[in-house]
Amino acid sequence: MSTLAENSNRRNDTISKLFGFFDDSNKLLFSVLLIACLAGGLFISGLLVAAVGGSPTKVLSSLIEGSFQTPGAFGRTLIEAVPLLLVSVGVIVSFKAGHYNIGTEGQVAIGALFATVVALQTPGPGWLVATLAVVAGFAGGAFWSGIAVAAYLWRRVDVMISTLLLTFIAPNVVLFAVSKDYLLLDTTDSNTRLASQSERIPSEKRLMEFEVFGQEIHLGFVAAIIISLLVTALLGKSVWGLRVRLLGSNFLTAKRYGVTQHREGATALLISGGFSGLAGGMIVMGSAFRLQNHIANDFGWDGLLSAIVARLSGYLALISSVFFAALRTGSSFLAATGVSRTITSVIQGLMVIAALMPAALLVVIYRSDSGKRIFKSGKKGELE
Amino acid sequence: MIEDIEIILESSIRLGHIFLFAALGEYVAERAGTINISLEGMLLAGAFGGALGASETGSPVLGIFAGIAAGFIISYLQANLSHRLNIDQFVVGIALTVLSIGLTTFLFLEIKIYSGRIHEFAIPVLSEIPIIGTALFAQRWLGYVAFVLPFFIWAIVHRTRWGLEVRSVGEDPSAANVSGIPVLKRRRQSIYIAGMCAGLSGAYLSLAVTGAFSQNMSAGKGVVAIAAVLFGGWTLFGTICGSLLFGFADALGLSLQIIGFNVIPGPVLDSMPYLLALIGLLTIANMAKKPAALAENFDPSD
Repeated sequence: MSTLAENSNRRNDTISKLFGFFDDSNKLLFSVLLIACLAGGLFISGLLVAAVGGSPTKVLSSLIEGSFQTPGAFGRTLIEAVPLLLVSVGVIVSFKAGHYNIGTEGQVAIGALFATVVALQTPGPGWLVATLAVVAGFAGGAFWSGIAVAAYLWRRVDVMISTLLLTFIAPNVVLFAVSKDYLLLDTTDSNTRLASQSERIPSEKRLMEFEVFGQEIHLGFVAAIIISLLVTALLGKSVWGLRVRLLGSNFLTAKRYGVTQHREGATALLISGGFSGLAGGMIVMGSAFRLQNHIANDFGWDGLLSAIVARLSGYLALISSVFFAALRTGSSFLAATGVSRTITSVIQGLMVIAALMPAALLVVIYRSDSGKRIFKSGKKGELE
Repeated sequence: MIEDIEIILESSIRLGHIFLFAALGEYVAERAGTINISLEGMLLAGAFGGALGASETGSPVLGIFAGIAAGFIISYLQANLSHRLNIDQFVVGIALTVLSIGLTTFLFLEIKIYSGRIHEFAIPVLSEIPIIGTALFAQRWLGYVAFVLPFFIWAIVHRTRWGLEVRSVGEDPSAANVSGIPVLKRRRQSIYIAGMCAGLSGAYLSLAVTGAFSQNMSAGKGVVAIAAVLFGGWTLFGTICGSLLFGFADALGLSLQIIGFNVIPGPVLDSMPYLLALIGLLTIANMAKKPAALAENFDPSD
């Protein structure tokens, strides 16, 4: 297995290169490039809108209107941002540990399933059931990523491939649960069509809602912010965080310090899956209130992208998840502009590419003749 | 009973070809030591490009070429971002897949597409053979490419100098580099082949299998094609077997529901190819010797 160790060592070297700043002296250049690339991505989206006969300014204004300006819109955006943020934090933990957990979409769905089961089947006071349900969501997501962890530890199956495959299985599991009357299918009178969905979660068991500055948000919002700040701080400052990052950045050093895939690697992946599941629980208990097979509704994918756009920084993820949530809520206002709401998925894709471009541009600059002259101390300059 | 078997065989060949075309390309790319998560995006772009090309020109043949070109464009981005500019290949793969899902969905809603469907062509005598005849020799004609493509891939990977260099790049890039083989160039070229094959696979999906493009129609087929390469233990024959097996699992799930077999619930049957791929990875794939430098980035300046 020595090749495996070297492989992941090489691989992780590029992760830190990709998401870290090259060196301190070029932070300014890097930030300028990043902003330019993000702006360029938006510009290309605008060109695309214009190409299909729409008006880019109208699209932009209705996106802003739909996500921030109309009454209650900001609150809706923040509520959408809750699962995105949680998924992002999970993704960050797993990427930092050198594992690509990209099956977040499936973990969100399974988390939602677990949360629904607990919420509908447990008697007791509302606040307790809501808490238990959300925790069950965490357990569900951790269980789903746990399958990938077990496959990796037992047979070294690539986490990236196995989590992706599991993502395509998860909606079928949820569909199975909500289409059988002995499981979760809603058989009450209100569901006359017998659509494949669970019963509604009774209102006393939902996450507590409250109003701040005229915007309705629920308790999950506060919890998500606290959790993400806590995890980011732990990842950056604690011994556990150091060990996880060590595993991700240098496999051999990690081994010397007794950091193992069995302990730190597995924990990071379980936590990562757990946060996705927690996001699923928040969706069910905070905004959807019932389980359907499309419950994950791209929250998992969007959270993954938001983590990449945030360049694996937990603090920037706070901003990028709100941005992605705004695209989601704003898209419903696009009908009036005559441009399809799916333009937001194009914007998302372009934003992710834009977030990766600065690292590539730096390579181009370093390799060019003038770049070599200016950045003589740079890594590529040493070739001379 | 025989009819049921014929139906299942026929659709498993048809669906297996989707995996087969994409997996053959990914096989070349993985032998060069790269993994392309964007295969999913290439496949989807190929499906869209194929449908769009056929709709605009009115000719399915030109549609196929448009599909191959669309797959190539995505692979061009993947190759140059990850193996020229050293961005992590997996993150690039995720980004490109998302971008192609977004772009195709958006353009599909904005542009009206009326693609035709590729004709069925039954080979006279052979298609009369009982049981396997219709499955193998009465396909839509693009399907017959599957008889040729594996030999072509085998020839270029195992019987040319280029192929030898590609394999050496996948085993030990540093040694290859020292002996004068342009490592990153070979990797990029192998990804171009993956992109064109995945584009062909997508065009086959939209022009021959369904006859129309629909939103996100690849639905994980690219991922299963990657799994087929791993499942096949990075051998050409294994890859072919893997893709046909996953095609069979896919077809079995669909056909059993049509036939009315309901001992196994529908959702379980729907997830058959993914489950089987996962089980395959757990059991067989690990016994194989993988390209030693698989998924390893190579920076010639290091």
